[in-house]
Amino acid sequence: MQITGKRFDNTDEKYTRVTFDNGFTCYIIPKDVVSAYAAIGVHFGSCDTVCADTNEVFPVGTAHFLEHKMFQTRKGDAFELFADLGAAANAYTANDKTVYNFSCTENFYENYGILLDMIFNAHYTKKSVEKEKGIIAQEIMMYADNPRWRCHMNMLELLYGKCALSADPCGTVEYIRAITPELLDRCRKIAYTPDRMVACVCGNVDVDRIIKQTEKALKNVKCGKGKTFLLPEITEKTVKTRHAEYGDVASPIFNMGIRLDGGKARADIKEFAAVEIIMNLLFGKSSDMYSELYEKGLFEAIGDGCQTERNAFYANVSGVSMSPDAFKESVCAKIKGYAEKGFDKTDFERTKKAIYGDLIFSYESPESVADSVISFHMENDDFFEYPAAVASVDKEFAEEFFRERFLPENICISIIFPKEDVK
Amino acid sequence: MSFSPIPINEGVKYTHVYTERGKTDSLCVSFRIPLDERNLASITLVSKILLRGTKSFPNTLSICRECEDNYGASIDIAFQKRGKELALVFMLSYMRNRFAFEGEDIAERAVKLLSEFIFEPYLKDGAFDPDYTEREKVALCAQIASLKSNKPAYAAYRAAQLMCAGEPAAVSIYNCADLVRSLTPAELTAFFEKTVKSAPVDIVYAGNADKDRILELIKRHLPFEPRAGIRRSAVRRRVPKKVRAFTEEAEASQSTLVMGFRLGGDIERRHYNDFLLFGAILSLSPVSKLFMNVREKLSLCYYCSGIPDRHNKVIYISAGIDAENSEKVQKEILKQIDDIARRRISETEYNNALSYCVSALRSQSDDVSSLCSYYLSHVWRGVYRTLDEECEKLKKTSVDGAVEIAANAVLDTVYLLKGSIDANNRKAL
Repeated sequence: MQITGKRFDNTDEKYTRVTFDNGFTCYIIPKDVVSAYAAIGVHFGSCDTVCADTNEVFPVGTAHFLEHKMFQTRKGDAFELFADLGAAANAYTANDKTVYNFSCTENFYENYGILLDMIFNAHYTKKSVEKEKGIIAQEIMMYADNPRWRCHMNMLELLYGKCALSADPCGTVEYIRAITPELLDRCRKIAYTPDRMVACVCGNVDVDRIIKQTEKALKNVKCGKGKTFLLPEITEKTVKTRHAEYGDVASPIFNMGIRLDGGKARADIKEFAAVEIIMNLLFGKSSDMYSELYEKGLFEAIGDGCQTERNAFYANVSGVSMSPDAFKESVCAKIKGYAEKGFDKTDFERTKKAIYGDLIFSYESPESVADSVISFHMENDDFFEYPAAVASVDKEFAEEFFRERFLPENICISIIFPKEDVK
Repeated sequence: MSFSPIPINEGVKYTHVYTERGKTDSLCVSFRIPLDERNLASITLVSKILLRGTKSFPNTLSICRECEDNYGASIDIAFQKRGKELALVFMLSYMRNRFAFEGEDIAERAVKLLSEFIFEPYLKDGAFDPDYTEREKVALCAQIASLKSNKPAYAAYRAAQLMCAGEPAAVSIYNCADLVRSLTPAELTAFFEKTVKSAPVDIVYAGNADKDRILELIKRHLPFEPRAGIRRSAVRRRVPKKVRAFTEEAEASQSTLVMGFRLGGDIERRHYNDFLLFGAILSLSPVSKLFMNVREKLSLCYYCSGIPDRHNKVIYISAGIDAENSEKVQKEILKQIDDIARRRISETEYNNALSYCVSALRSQSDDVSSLCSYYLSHVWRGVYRTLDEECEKLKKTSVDGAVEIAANAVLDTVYLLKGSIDANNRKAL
């Protein structure tokens, strides 16, 4: 067992990180609050479809289905066990991970025990797996009916082609019908191993007690090392720049994606920080471009973000626009201008200051902190080093990265026009 | 010990909530006015126009740059429908001074900006800028039109329209596109100036500054004149003569069922905690009756949840389903409410629901802006219990009140937004 502690004086944050002998990692972040939140992230998400060691294939939808069934244990439904102790539990599946969590204001250690138990000892029957299919089919339909979601998935397909990165993490109705308990068991055996897991406990908790409790729980875990999964196969080397379809929307909606991986397997924390700053400089409300395009009526509302998971690294901006193609054209022209002239120094420094402020805000929430710690850990990074990473990005670094990656050929737009517009 | 708002002026009250927790402070200022479509359309549009400029920061660009330069300080302008009343809320959040790089006074700078939003918005010839006004009308109308693409939200809206026509619950911005288009800059400016001048004001601060410091900032930057207080008037319960059923079609593979129930009792004040408990037992907690039965036991849906509207004494139950299962789902929802009314609530269900409510309430003290919102909503209700006192009171809530609420719940409207796409034919799946 290896214990390391870190304190960050500028943000008044501290954590203890424990790596157990079997590879299980646990971050403990005590805070002066009444609630506590714990999450365990498993390095197995919807994109982990091919096991590199055994060549077994687990189509997209398997990880998500498993997430639904992990709450069934020999002691009963874990949702009920948590609720009996005053905790609210939940879970989610992303491209690169599945995360199980709970929050409570009492009985924290008992609840943490349930979380540790269910993650290694789920127990589902054939009947319960069959019953889950109806629930997940409804979930798939709910997302399929959401035009924004469809527009987002189409954007991912333009960036990466038809592959696990651009598939609905829930899978398809046809596929989930074929899922069996045996398949889920097999998945757990090779992917739900301590070395593929990270826990984060944040809030009103005692560090020593968490370490002892985790150590004790892990002693009973009888499983070997996890297998390795192949990175999702990206079928398109180049970005397809446009896709449009008609749907049940009142005004055209769009999702513009910018592929940023540059052929690298993963982004580092400094590059990610640079992208966050650049996206704010381009699309933040304090940017010249935002005001200009809004006044021209080129969009009604937009939101932006950036994402790095496995070998995907992209930024996107989505919203409502009466002229999405003109919006993209103007953005590309502006990007060209910034590539030539560079960013304004004052704008650049102000944006960094605002991101620092936002991080301070995000440290207030145990949920937000723990989820971020897990996401960064999955990318071999440290969330608490992120303010320093933002600070370390200077204008020259950001501009170089911008010129290299924000290229017109890496930009795509997915659009859904109102059906009424079909001529 | 209850908290007591400090009267700053006639009709202007201040509540100070001291907390060492967190790294940020929140200050909110609310105005309350009567709810009607005109006020709702005006308030919605004004809340967007205000974000376009103030006297010193005449456009969005300069406002946002000012906020960013002040370490990401933020001002949200929101409104809430509360029965017959409409509340306009300015919520200011800013980082505490101790985290500033160079010892800047973040708080004063942020309050100054808030003051400009309220007292010195950007005007041209004495009225809101006509260009800003027109631009925000277009954006708001686009937002109104987009409701239809969000099926669960659209179904909830339609159910409320059909069930509560002519009542405050049916007053919705989604009915107001024409009204929004017709409002002039002069009308909107007069409306906002009247609101600032005469609507009752409640100010709540949560953070670690002492009271005198905040009162001083308020005195300097938020000088509200005296005004009349507000007269509370509750929404009266309407009991339907018979259940009304409506079906409409939408381009979707999933159908959305909404069942609207009328509730009884004084759920705004006396039976407030009973209502919270009822909601948790029925639908809000992760082990609620609807989740455990409609979803987990019968596999009829992915979600089946309650949308409570306590100000209007109504609860809507919404579920995404296969249209062919509609009868089955309705029957099960009714059965679960009936079970509560017949006290078929296990000790475990009661305990779980109660601890879910208590935990949700207690954890509000961890987040400064939630804390601010808690006290503001209690000031509005005229209930001056601190968060700890409210938790203690909630803990003592027996199951009797929830049983009574269920027993008095009357089904009014069943609305089905029927998906017209055959799920098996949807290629995207």
